[in-house]
Amino acid sequence: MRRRLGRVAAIICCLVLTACAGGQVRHGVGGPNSVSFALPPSATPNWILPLAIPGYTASYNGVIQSALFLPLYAYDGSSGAVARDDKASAAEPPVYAPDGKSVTITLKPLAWSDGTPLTSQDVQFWFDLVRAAKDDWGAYSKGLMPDDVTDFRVVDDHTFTLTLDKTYNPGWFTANQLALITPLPRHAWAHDPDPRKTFDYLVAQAKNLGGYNSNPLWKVVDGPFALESFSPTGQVTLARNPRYTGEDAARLDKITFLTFTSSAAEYNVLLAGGVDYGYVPTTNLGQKSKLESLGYRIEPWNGWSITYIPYNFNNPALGAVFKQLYVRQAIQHAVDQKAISQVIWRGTATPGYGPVPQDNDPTFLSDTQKNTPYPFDLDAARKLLADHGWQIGADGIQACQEPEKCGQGVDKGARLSMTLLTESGSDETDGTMQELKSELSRVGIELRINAQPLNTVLANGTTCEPSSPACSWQLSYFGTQGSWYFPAYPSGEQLFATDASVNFGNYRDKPTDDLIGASTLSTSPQSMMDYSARLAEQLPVIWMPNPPYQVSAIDTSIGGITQDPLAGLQPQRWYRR
Amino acid sequence: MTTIAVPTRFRLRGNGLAVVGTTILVLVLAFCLLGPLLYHTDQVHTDLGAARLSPGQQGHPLGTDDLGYDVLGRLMIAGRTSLAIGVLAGLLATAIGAIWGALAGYVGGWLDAVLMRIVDTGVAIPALFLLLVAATLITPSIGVLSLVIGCVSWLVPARLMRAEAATLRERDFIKAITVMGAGRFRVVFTHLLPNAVGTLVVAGTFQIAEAILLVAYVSFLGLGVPPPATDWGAMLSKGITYTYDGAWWLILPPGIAIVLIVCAINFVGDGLRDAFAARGRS
Repeated sequence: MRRRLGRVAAIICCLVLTACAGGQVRHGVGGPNSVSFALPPSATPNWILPLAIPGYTASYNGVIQSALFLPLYAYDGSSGAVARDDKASAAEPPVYAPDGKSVTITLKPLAWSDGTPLTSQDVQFWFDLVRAAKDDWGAYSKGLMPDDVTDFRVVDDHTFTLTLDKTYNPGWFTANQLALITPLPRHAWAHDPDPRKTFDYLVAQAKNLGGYNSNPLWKVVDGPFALESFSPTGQVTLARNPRYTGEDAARLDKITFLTFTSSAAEYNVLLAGGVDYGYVPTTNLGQKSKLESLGYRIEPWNGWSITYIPYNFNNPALGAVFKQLYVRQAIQHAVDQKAISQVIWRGTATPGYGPVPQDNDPTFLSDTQKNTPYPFDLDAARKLLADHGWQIGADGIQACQEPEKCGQGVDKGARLSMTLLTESGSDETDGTMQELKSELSRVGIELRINAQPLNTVLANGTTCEPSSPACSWQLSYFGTQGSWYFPAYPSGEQLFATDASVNFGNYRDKPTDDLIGASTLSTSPQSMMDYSARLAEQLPVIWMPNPPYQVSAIDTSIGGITQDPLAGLQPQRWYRR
Repeated sequence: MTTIAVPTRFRLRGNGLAVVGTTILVLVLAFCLLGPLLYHTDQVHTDLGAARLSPGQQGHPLGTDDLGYDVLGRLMIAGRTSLAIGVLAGLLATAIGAIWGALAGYVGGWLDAVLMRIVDTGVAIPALFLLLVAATLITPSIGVLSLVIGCVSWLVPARLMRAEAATLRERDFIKAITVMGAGRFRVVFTHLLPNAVGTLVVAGTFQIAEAILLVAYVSFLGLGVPPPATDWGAMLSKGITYTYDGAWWLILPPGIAIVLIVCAINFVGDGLRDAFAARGRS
């Protein structure tokens, strides 16, 4: 009897221990002090040289680069305000001259992993390479870095002064120009006295993904992590850099970046416990409680970004129509952003009414943008069109009946029928497009949806001349992968300035150009507020709800994670509880 | 030619499954074609304010989907799409297969070898793969999907018809009209195909069921007709997304509809096959 009781007690103990162990689910693929991180669908890291050439500038490459090579200045927005992250920066705060025409920078006492100190020459090396090959540098825009720095003067081993071509807004210059600089190990990478040859050599080495594991170039780092392995399929493992000399040392032994061909594939692995820090497709948010029971916490990761649909103002058929502000106002009135955000995005997206990110730091957000001049109002949309000479025809589509009211370049009989080139394969994008088509049809605007793979949309919806066959696109939506992520300072010199590189719709507006120029030169935030208000009113694009960067599923045993809206990771601060 | 309608009808009456199949088929057709005339819903405009309502709420007997479309009404118009594509594609596949197989079987020789090797090659390529490639290249519509599915599904009817034609060409009446000077095309279209009508009708029913399933596959993979049009496969695909929300009304209705219609058509096909087999024996 006693023996039987003993057996029963042993079984109960085993059951209790098993139950206790079951409550602490262990995820991931690495060791006990490591974390596996899921990269976005189809994202395959292919570049670790912190001087990216066009085509290799993806943010996931940048995440790995900044863990290996400290940027001169890092920024972070996870506190609610976008601000310099001094612990993750290689230099002390910059000191601008009283006339604003020069800036003096002092490096922190850091050393490379081979023991060589980090010096001003390492920053000068970066400048030499970029100046020699600026047209091949992915971040180059004419007139900006490095053109806006006329002289580099070494003061001592740790201090240097940059002379600027004019007086800039220091906040903008540090955030959007100095933050592009990453000190490089001159002693290890200066392959040739000619910087152009060295640049070409480094690019050639960086293109050789198979050499990442063995090439001594990539062994010399100054960041909190060092490269342990790099698979040509994109899986990357970083290990703690034991010779890191800064104040932001890694707490984890390893971090592994995992790649997936689709969000569904990632989600299946997440459910199986194969990822420590992954993401949940929005359509699977109904499984939140299931994931929580598996030991994950679910947190949306909002981005420092905006989402929009560009009009092609150069389109031969509809360019003149799109140039009429009242048409753009009518279309914007037909976008029910709140409903799209709440229902289709299940509350994870945020309505956006202008050119400044609206769901994070409000420093640059104008009241005009915040309160939107064109709320969802179909009657207002119909009235705008009726007041300007448009009538709904027998086919249910608005047609211009009074050309003198319709506006310059709009002929009698012109119809409000347009094609929207959009990303295929996303439930959220499909739903958004159906909703948009439906609401516009109630106003008498026909929207034809042409869903194509994202790469096709990206390749076709670009800047063009009116006479070019490439200008046949009318509206373009990059969908869930197409939000524009800003650097720390959300100015519009790349997006809405005349002839800007990402001004896909060829928008031209002199007051906007002036405001963008002022925002980069003036120290007052008012120019940014004015810019925010003007574009909220002028509607260079259709403003759309801004989805989160991702909805994260994070192993509850990992601490130190702050989801930075600038899409940075700072994995050196993560730890296992 | 033999009149087949009357004896077949009588024989179907004796086949229980065929009667059940025919009844379901008629009911589903009535549901899809007449239903929207009696039960009016807006299947063009979205209504996000009424999204994902469960059955019975706010006057929606089967609830609403993620964009606020009434599921019962959507089931009806989706059924029209699925049935239209199924019937058109099934008939097209049967027609192509019949002519191809009849020519191969009747003419024989090198033409038979060439035509049937093409069929063998085609069978080796998965139809779903061809469909996905085509749906990616061409904007899908009812006409396009019918054409594409028809063009990838004719291989099995071609084999059946080839075997039937090879048998028929040895029959005395075919030999007689050949001796009387009838041309090959006249023999094939006027005598051979009409005498293989039993095989063709049975093959046709199975092809329709197959086409309905194929369009469901393609739509399930997100390459079906563009919204706001839909079909049962697309409804099912969308519904699966909300499985863990407990939204069974987005999954069961289109799933049951697909199973019902495919089973019904197969029952009818089986019944017709039995009926024609009995006629052949008699």
